[in-house]
Amino acid sequence: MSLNEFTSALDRWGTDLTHWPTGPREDAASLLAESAEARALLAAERQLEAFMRTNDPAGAVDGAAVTRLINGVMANLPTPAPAASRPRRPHWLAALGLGNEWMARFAASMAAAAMLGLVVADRLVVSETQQLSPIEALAMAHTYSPLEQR
Amino acid sequence: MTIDDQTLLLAVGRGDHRAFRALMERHGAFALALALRVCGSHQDAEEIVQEAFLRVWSVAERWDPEGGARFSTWLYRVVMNLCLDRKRRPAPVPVEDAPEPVDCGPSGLEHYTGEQARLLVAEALASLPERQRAAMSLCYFGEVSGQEAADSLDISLSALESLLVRGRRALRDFFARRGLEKVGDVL
Repeated sequence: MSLNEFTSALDRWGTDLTHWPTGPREDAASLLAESAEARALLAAERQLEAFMRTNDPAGAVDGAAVTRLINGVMANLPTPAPAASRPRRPHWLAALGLGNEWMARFAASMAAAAMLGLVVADRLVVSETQQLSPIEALAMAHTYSPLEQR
Repeated sequence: MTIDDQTLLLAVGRGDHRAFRALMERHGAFALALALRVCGSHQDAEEIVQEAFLRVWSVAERWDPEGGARFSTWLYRVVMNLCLDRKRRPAPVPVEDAPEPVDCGPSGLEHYTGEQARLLVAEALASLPERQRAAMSLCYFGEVSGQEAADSLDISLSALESLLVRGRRALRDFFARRGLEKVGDVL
């Protein structure tokens, strides 16, 4: 492994050689044993990592920040809770992007259609009655058939 | 006994507040750290992670434990996407949040301690292109494996390594531009 290859490997896998793939790790170990320059490169890179980690801006995240987060989330939870009380919408409606508003419109349309059907059906019955022949009208006027009277 | 994430998520899906709190206690700190590294603002980081966990609450019911996805990977991905979305929105920096300029001459190096050093690291991260910053925020600080970071960013392992290579070189350039070739100077 050349010094350039070692530098590239450091950039790729970092300074913890235990995280390197076996082949490059063994090559790097040989290079480090014989090259002071490689050792200096590794030391400089480790110093940079240590500096970055010691002064990680995320070091400011403490227990208070997590508590604040939890309180903020809990205060903003939508009500009611997900599965406990919310009726499940059929997957095919969700997939089509049709929500509760669409469901309400659909139900109203169905109710209107049913009402219209009742009115039309009523008118149709009246119409049929009006078209009875005189014999049919006479038969319909009798409550019981002659067979039943016997 | 520790309850695993999948079990907690199933409980969250049934509306269990205690399970949800447990999930946030377990993952909240790292999610905040990640958001802070990428965004650089405490307020943005807290808002982003809060939004990420509210999404957890809303999707927990439909979480598929057989899908094989790790909860942490999914959470990091949501946090990253929210961070990157927010970074694309231009926002004025309040004067009180702007870091104090530091004397970068050779005689000023000794000033990089404590808060100044943290600001320098934050500035170094902020100087990276966003994908490199995301990769470095996940991996450089040694908390997330390469494979999980790649999964979180929805890229291959080799693409992640490429981002890390460029990110490390960019960091070195950042310090070199400030006359800090030897980082030991500021320790």
